[in-house]
Amino acid sequence: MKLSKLTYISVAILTFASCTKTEFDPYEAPDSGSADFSNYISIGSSFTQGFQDGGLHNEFQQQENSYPAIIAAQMGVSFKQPLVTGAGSGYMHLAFLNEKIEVIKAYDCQENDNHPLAIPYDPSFLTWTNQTTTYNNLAIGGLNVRNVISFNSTDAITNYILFGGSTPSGQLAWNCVAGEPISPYGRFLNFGSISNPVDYIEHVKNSKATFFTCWLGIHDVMGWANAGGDDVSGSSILTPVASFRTKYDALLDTLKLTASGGVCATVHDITEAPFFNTVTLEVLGKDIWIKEGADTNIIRKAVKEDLLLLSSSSLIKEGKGLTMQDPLPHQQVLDKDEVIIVKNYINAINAEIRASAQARAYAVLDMYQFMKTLNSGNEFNFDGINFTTEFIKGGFYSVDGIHPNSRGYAMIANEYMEVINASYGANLKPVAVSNYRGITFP
Amino acid sequence: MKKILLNLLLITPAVVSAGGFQLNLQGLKAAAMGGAFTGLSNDASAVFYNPGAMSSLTGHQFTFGANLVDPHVSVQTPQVANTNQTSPRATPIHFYYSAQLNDKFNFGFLVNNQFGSSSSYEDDWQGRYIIQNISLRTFMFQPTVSYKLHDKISIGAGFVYATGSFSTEKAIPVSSSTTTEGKASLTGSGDGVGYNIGIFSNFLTLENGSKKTDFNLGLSYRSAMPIDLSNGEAEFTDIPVALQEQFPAKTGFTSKLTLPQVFTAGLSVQHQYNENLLFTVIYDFNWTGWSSYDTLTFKFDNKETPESKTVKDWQDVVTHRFGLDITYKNKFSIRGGIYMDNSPIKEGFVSPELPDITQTAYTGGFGYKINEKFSVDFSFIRQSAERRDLLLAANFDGTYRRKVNVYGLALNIKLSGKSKPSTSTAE
Repeated sequence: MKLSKLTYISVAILTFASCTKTEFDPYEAPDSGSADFSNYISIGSSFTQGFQDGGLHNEFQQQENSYPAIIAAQMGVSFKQPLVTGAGSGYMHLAFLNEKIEVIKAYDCQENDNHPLAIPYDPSFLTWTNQTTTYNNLAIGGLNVRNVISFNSTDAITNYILFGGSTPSGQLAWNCVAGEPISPYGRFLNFGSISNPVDYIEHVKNSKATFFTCWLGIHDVMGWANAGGDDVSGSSILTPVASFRTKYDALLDTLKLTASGGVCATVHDITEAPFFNTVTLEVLGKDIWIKEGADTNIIRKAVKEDLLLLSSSSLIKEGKGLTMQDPLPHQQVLDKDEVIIVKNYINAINAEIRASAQARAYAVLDMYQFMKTLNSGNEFNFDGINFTTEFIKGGFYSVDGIHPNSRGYAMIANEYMEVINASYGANLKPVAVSNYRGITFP
Repeated sequence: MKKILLNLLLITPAVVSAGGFQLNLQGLKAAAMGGAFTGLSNDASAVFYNPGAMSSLTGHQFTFGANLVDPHVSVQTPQVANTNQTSPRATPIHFYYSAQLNDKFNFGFLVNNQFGSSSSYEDDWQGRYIIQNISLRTFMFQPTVSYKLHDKISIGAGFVYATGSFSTEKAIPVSSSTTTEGKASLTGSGDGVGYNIGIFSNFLTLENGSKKTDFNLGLSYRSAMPIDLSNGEAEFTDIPVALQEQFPAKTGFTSKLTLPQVFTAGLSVQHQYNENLLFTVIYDFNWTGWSSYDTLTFKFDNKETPESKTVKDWQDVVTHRFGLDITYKNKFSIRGGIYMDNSPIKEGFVSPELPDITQTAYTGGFGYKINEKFSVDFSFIRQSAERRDLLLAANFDGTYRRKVNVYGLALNIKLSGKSKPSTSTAE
């Protein structure tokens, strides 16, 4: 009797004790909702290719973790990228010299005084191309909307020289080698030959995308802005808005042939990046003389609305801009009038991107607003990491001050997925930002 | 015995329990009855629950008790379906002693762990920049005196000396070409003082033949106890060379933690139904001043290390505790209870370091009086609750599922002293 009582009590206790399962069930497999993720293609420029620190590199999975690759992983679909090896194109990095963190520029063939620590391209980058593979990530560093399709032969040849390679002068060719394209980042695609060039849009068409994300338009303004608002080469004019729209429409019409769903991202206000906001009069604490870009005869003291480029920092250290006789060159300053031109231009093309996407029933990601929130100067947090958009310390931007680092790209991927879920009834899970790398400190 | 206690101190990791990091496990009759005891306090745990009630204890009474706390906590985030805490089991202890000095005075002493908390996760989990491991342990020592003002009213007061030790580890989001992240490990200890006062009254007794009903009231107040962690040691590992000025391999730190004041009003009714059966119902109204846990700040000796300041903004909370005891032949007791525990943590502040949840918890237990000298108590507490909250300061969206089983075992020893005019609250 006593024993059986004990048994009952023991059984009761054991039953109770076993009720300690707290585990949550695994998340269900991704559901695409009304979209078809089976052949997801991403279109864009450096930001979409996985570019950071002023280069396309992959020694810590920087390119592998491009934002479209993160999205594809959450979709549970395979996603081929033209991956570089290690240092890839070469890139900027930080070094700890004389008890100070210094930015070391990537090795540049056009300069004679490269820093001894400058990281050059990986030897494999010279043969970084396999044009027979079909890639899902079709983004090309520096790709403008105006390069997507050519409506005349001059455009076609320009695009070919830009991405396909021909015989531009050594100075313009990537790595200063004649025969190389000006931009090396599109060599995984076949741009035909100079007599028979192939447009980028052909590759988009051939991809037979069922779903796409597109973040184009940044470079239609960035090339101009990053050069201080001057047309330093054929590739850095502001694409005329009308032509931008026509070509954007053509791109989406091509996608519409096969893709039932897609997301077009607007262009963020690039003047808010650290590239334009790190070298400031406040930080320098002295007057800086600049040459205005619009009229190079005007030399004046910089005002706080003038944005000195990050790249001007080393020139100022050398004494440039300290006197009226030796002003900062106009390519190193986005002067206050040019800033307004850039901001207005971005608003104008964003209106066109929205209209073009909405006309074809594609979703729009308001990247302009998202980045505006991040760049507002307030701290923001993910998984307990505090971020700001401050150069280097902030943790969002990479060492070039223009492109996000892997954590920043993870945030961007999450924004895309939120729009995809809302627009197509999909259930993509966001990724943990903490699982991606930030800045690599020396 | 001192040695045993010290050994226990060393092997006793503290534990996550509801109601902030207060451990409501200080007596096992109480634990079995929803944690209510202030208006009864009829064993040596009165030293803790209500020093005023100590006066009703005769002779020399000792209680040695320990709990086994078995916590199970899982976290879900929008990104990761499940992460289990790896928090260890904990064994908080308590020791009570009460001696009747004369008709008016009793002396008592206690050693227990009134506050504690520990949460552990795998080092590489999603919230590692918020917390990897955290542990707080406290030990209280309290000499106490009670005085019988009147047959029906007694008061008591104790001086509390508290020691606390604290350790925490978390990842630092900086990487180099050879490291993926840094780590901060902080350990510190300190002490503080406070007091514990109580008043107890067996204010009404109704008799009807063999039936007898006693009404008891108790009030107790335990003061806040500021614990200064003045000799903390911080270690930073895997820090990139360029950042070692901010995060040196080793630096001291100081911090301060204020253990909250606790006020309790308790009522009990004991009904002697017949020679064999005694029924007790009990209720405690418990108020804990958790608003003392406002911010947690670590100031580092190294000037370049940024001060770490976390806003906690906890709120004062009320807990209602109900219990029932049925004792047969003054030998076998069966007990049950519930308590409605309110979390001191406001919306927007729930952190994986201590995912506290408002809940109703269930308790039960047995008592067995072996002979006039020895009795044992067993108690069981079951907590099961879920809460979702976005920790605003970290932008960490967590759903926490907690199930905790607590098993307690205590031995009571009573050595005869001078016999005392019996009251039914004296055992």
